[in-house]
Amino acid sequence: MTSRRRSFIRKIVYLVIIALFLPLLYWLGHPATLDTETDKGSPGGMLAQQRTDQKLDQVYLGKIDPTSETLKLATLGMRGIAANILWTKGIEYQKKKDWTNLSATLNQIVKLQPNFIDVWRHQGWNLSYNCSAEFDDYRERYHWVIKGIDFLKLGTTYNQREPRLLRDIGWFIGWKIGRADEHEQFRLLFKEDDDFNGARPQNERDNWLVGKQWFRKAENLIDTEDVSLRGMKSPVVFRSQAAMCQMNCADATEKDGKFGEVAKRQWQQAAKDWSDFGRLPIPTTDGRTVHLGEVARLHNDRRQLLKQLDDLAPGVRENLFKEKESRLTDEQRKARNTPEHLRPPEQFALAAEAEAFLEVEPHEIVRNHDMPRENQAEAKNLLEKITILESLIRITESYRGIVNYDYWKLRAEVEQEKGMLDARKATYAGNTALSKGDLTTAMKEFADASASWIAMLSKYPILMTDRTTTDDIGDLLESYGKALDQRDQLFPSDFALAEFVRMQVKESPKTYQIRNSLQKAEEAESEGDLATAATFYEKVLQVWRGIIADLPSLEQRSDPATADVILAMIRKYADVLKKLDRPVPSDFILHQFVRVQMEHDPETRAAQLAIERSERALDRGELSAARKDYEQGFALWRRVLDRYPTLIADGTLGEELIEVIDQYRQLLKRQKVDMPKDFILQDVLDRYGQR
Amino acid sequence: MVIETEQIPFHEWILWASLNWLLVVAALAVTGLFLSSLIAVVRHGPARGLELTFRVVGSSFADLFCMSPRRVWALTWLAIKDSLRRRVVIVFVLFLILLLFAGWFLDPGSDHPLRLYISFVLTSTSYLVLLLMLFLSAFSLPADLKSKTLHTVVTKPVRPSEIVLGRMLGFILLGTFLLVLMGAMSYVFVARGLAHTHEVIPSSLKVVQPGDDAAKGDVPLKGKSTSVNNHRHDVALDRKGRGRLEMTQDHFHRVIRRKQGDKTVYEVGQPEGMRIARVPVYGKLRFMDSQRQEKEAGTNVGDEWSYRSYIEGGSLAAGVWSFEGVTPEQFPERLQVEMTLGVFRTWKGDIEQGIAGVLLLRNPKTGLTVEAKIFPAREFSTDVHQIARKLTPETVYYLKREEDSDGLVKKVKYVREEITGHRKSQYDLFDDLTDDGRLEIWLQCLDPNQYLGVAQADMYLRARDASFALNFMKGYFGIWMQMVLVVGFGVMFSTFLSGSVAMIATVGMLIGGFFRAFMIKLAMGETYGGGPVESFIRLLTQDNVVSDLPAGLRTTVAQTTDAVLQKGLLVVAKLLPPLREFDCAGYVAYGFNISADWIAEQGLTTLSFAVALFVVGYFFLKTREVAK
Repeated sequence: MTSRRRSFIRKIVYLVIIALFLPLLYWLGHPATLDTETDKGSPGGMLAQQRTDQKLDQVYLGKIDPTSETLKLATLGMRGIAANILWTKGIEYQKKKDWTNLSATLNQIVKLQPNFIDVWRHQGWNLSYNCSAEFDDYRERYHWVIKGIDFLKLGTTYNQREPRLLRDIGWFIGWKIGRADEHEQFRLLFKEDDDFNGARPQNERDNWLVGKQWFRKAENLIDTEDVSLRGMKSPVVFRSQAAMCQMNCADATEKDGKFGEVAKRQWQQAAKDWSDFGRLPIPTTDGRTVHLGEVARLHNDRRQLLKQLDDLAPGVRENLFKEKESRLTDEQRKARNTPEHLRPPEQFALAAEAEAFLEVEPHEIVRNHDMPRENQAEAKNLLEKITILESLIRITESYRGIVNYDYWKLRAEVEQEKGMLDARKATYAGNTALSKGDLTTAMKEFADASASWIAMLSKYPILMTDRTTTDDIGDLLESYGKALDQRDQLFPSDFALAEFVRMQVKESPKTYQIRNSLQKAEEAESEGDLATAATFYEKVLQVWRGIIADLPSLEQRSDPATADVILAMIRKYADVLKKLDRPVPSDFILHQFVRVQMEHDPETRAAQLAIERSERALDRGELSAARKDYEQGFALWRRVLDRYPTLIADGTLGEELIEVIDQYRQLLKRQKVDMPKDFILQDVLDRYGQR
Repeated sequence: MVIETEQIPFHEWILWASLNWLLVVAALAVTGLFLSSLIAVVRHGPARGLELTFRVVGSSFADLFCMSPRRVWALTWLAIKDSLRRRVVIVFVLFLILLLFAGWFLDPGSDHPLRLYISFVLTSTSYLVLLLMLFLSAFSLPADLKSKTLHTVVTKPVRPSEIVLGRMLGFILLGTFLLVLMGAMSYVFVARGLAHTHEVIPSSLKVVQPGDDAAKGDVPLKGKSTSVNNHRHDVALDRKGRGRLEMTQDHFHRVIRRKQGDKTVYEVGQPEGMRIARVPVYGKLRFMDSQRQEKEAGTNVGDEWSYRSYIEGGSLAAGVWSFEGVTPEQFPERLQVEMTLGVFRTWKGDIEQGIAGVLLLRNPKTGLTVEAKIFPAREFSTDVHQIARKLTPETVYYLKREEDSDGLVKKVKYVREEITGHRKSQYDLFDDLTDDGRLEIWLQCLDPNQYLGVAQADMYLRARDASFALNFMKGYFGIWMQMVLVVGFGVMFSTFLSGSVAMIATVGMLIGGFFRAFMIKLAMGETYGGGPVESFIRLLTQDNVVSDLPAGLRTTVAQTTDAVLQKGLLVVAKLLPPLREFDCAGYVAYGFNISADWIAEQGLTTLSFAVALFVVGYFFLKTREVAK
């Protein structure tokens, strides 16, 4: 056989072998085809079917992009390495602030590995949060926030079954735009952004509402497809976010200056969304499912069961309680009997301990020997039910705590109230008027807002302890205070929120320190140990200074009663110092507070007027009239100084008075009269006259 | 544009470079002569060996200086034909395919699309041409030797030098032809890829001045355009309906309003202002601190990238650029100052307001300083400031000399003064503020506790614009020079190595050439972790790269060995061509003219390497049996 012939036969054999393998190859790998109007599609070969079954097929992931496929092929199976190199280059570009090349590199990375979710998430965040922050111009920053969002949106086209990307988009649109330092500017830019919003109507261009839509998309995907968040965020937090977007939208609507029906509708929707959220089944970490909105029903069920248990063993609970009560220690009993607002910190723990001990547990009733024998089986059954129910209540309440369920429920309800809408509207109008310098309108609006707030606080006393409410009212008091300060006025004596301020002082943990130090000061004073008394009074005043720092409106007498209490304390302190024959220290810690009180005292004004009169008379050369007015002025100043005894240590005032006294002295000289021996402001003269 | 290495003017460079080159050539010649004599002596004994060596050296003068251009051209043509037989045209086809599909990978919606397009075409051309030349030059001579074709050639009266030169010229000519074709196609690709137009949205047009009635026409209008390539422009029209689609993505469009019957149409032109080649005049930067003491650098604000130094706001701190050649001939109408600044805020301040900076012009001789511009800084974008020839500042600063009774200068004070009646209120840029073409521009930050970041290349005077097409060609010239070096090394290695080994050696040179700067840094001990032995110890002991190794014998031995190795690395690195320096894609992409100095310096560098490689290649070929 010639070599040529051998070669020919060999080729034929190869062809036959290839032909034999073709059916096997077809069976294994032929692609799936879709159903059309004329043909029924094919499920494809074994590999195609396996991919379909395991949902690994590209069509299940998202868009098949020729660019991406080309790049993957071009890297000859080394796309992981290529992506790593690009990632490193991206870091270098970012370091050198080469934003054009950074964007281009990210595009290449995601084309190489379009289904690597963490790449999308990490770089989306990087663009929106890190790169955007590098720019000084807030418009550029917004542009880069949107770049990050667009990047994630592109990711969703490649990964259509990935709720994490949808959730991230919702978060970026909601929280990044709505919570950044530049949120006011960002929200405006978002509204004007035709490229991002497309055909979305203007009134729907609220970042929180758009964010909510993306959260809803993520929820729908999880609810309708067999996908999960895969380790990201707890389900309860994730499920709360769409409703939280609505809450934030309502809040932002008011901050934008829209009130009335518009704001009310947003809060109504927020309340509805929150209520819907409360009805959702939330999986817990221990495999159970809870409904956050059903805790009241659970408590009710528990009460019913406990009642049934008590009915099975009449009088047992009461007996057990009495027995436990008899076993309390004296300290516990004392703590329990002390009213809550009078308890020192150590008694809080003792009282709580006592209350917990006194709680009669269901198992104590079931196991009690007084339980009738015939009811024991039923009681055990009830105990089992109660135990399960209590565990469910505990976990539901714990989950409610994670999302602050009660607070937001209350907030959404309260914010719809007319009183609250009025309070917010008036506050906004007051702030706007204040920024324009229209003090009359500002003060009127602030007064109206205060009246609306106090009405709401009376209706919902729980708001008194709510941090957001106290912060909001704190802001109102600050703005009102600024307006009053510019008019050189104090809060009106019938100020509507005076009671709120008083409550804040009463609720302050510092109040106990005041009580404690005051008690010690009074004890020392009564024992004649004035030095110790002075020390404790100083401590009291230091705590008061802390409270004034927390509630600066107190200085302007937002609560006259509290302001008077502080003044009374100052007088006591001054009195003790006087007895000790010690001067009031020049760095007295409540100088500013006292000065404000003094400046707004009618007698101060009268004293100032008398001095002004005397100066005018002096100019006219009417020496007797001037002298009379000076003496009247000094008498008035004497009363002011007696009312505010620490004022003597106020150097500025001292210098001013010395100047006036010098004028008076000159006048007397001209009249050839000596300075009186019992000069009414001798203490001022003694303290400042030598300077 | 970021320029991390300063360009040295040609007249400063040439002296140093020539001296350096001569020293290296002399060192190489002496080393070569010594080594070849040594080998000859070992092989043939001292007398015969030395005689042979001197004979070879003597005949080499004739070979190198008496080459026949006709024979060189014939061999060049032979190399070209040989290459064409090897289907070099495939590279061209590959390039075409790349361009066809490039649109998929390039995002015309990028903030600076031209940069992406230019980087892409220059990079892909560079890769393809260098790879092609690598294969051609490394395999050509060894293949001829193997197929004995070269034996036929050497039977003719040709000199080995002509063979080496013919090969080199052949490949270079072929590569040049390919580069010209690729360059032309790339230019068309870039121009077409970025061509687009927009439409004006009539409903978006609003009057600029309140009270104007748009319906009556003939009023200035502002509005928006449609979005194309992921961007839209603000539209500004004057009373006559002429105007611009304002600058976005580095370009603008002209627009004109026309009436067509009852309808009003807006004709929008193609993008402009994108393909430019600015001719910058750079100055020397120095810094003043808040006490007005001269410093080499400004404040470090903790940025990982230390390219920019920062100027403290609300203080006397300043960045001072000293320019030369600021003459009325160079800047006949006005001074165009262009800047790219960094901004660092230590506190939020007013979000809607940029950090304020001020430009002061100062005569370096008289010290007269006038306030030219107060501006809000715009980060990461080129800020353009036109400074008129006649300045009417509100404030001037000048040097005041206090003299004693003998007329001797006692003290020189810097005085700031508001313009009042007794002072001149108008200053001429050239008469008052420059001294023989020298001008200082001071940049200060006005906002207290905020900072402006600058580097030397961040501010320049824009003298004029050169041709973009010519600049694009210069970009290709950079690739051409890299190609010449690859051919030179490939042919040189192929004169004494087999094809594949020659290719590996050339690839090694390529890699070394691209990482030359890093190698020098490594050899100078400027990297963390020490030399190779010290680094190896750190790897084994998992020690970090910054702490000192414990003192002892091991460390002493390692560091001594490293010192020797580093010296060797330094010699190797210095012998490698600085390939990265030939890459000027950045200049073209960022719209900066490639200077004649750059062309001259890199061109001479290439030529000097090519000559050296040719001579070395010739000696290697001459010593081979076949060439005798």
